[in-house]
Amino acid sequence: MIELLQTVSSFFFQFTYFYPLFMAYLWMTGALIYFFRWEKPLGDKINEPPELENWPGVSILVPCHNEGANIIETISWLKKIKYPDYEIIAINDGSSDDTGQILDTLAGKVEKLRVVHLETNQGKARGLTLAALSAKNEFLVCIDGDVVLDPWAVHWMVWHLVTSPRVGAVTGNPRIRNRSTLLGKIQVGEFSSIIGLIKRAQRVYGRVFTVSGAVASFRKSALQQVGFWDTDMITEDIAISWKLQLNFWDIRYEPHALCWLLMPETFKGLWQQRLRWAQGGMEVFFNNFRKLLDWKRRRMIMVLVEYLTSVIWAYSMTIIALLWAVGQVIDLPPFLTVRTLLPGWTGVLLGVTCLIQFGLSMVIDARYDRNMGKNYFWIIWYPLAFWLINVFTIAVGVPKALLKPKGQRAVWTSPDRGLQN
Amino acid sequence: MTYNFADNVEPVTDADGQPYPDCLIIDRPDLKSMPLLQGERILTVIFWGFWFYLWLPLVSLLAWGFGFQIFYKQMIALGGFHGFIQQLSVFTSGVALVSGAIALWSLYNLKRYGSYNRRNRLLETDMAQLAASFNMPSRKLTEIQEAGRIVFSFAEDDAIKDVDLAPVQQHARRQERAN
Repeated sequence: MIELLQTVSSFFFQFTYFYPLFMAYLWMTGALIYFFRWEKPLGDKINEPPELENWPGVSILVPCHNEGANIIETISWLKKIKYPDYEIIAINDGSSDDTGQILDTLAGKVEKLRVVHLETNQGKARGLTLAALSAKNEFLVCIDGDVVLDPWAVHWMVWHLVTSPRVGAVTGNPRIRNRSTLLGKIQVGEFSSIIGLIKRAQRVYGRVFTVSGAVASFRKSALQQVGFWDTDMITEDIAISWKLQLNFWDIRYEPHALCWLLMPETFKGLWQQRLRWAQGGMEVFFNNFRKLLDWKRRRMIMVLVEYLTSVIWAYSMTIIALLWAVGQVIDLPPFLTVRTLLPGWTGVLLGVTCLIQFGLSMVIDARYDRNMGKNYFWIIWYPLAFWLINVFTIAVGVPKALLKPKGQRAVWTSPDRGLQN
Repeated sequence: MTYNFADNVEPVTDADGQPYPDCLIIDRPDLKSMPLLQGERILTVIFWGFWFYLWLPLVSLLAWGFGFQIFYKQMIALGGFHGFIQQLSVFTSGVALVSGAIALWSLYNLKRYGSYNRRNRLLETDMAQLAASFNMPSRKLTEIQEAGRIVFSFAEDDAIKDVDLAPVQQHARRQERAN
């Protein structure tokens, strides 16, 4: 019996130490397959998207809640979009600042701009749904109210929707604008070396965990088929991604479709954002659990395994830290004894892996964000921090998702957007 | 900042004539307070220290190369190297396994779904059905899609209570008069 417990605990410890390492290699291998199979053949010029005989009309949806400080910039960059046929629909979702007034004034000056006012704050999901209802076009591009969309991004995303009838959505490539603080700089690294690699690897799985909430395009008929966005999910982007894919729609990742966004630059802001992501993932998982067991939907299995393993790992890591702490005070049985939290030889492998991961992401992402090398000093250790953030946010986010009353409307508050002026 | 743009396309600039996307990047260390600036530097140095700490076994190997005999005692005589060999074998098998798994899964995906199109023609949204799902007549939906300014108001149960429509220009003129 003791031997069995010893074997189980040994496996548990090995899993906890090696899981982040193996995931790093899984993502890197996936990203390389993606790069050579899909990304490289499309060329490296952002302003040379693939050609189409006819570019169909597109509606760009911009949900806003208290975006008075950012919306003029967002709309003025949307005027520079190179796409031949598009309208802009800004949604003022019950803002308590001057967003509504600014949008009405802009609508008199920007010919392509239409404004949807929601008298009370309904949440991003409902705002997007009502904007989709109001949109004239079949293809929708959704961006946040504080982002700047690359002038050629619409071409890159719409090309997928037109050439592949089975594609229900395309997610773009968000890049960080604010790089003044340490938190800003490490997120520059994170979006390339972690999120960029994961997105590419997930395209190789055949299914992605989520579209980007900041920039994604959708086929309206696909949204209609799945009942548009869920208003009770805290992360409407994860929820719509799973709904579409569980209804056999493909989601593509298009790294050439850039958008520039502001991210939190305070610990509080970052914590709130990451906690929301962790909680949202679990809410969506619970919501779709039964469908995931269906053999016809087996393409979701890699995303599901990746997600569930990360949750199990987060709790394993928490348990190990607790066992180590308890072991400092009282004697535990040998199979529960954690002598040290320091990784020993695993540390060398971890250090090498960090280098390889950053090196690879810099090579792949150089065409989109060549200035990344400047941030190398600040971010080389980030993959370690990424896993720690995962531990804490999952440990807190999962119970929050479990305890949340079913059907409760998810409304939003304006996030921290870092140092600007 | 240099991006990969084709040379034959006119560059985009912001209102001040600054080239895109350089003009979008906000890197203003001058906005940071001194404690924040110093705190970030110290934190980064600590993390770099930790990162170097991970390399200690390797550093001691190099030290051996320069004649420090303690490495021989720790790694060879006391068997410290066995730990590394054991870890390395788990590590390489794990990496080979996950890399092989994703490559195989990718091939399976390509073979099984690559040319499998459930939907072989572009769908269009069914407008009548769309209007019905929002409890409104099709004509109303058409009006909404033509309007420049749309105001949705809601009942207590969050259902749509009313939709007020106006062309953009008309509303803008009204607002200008009010100002």
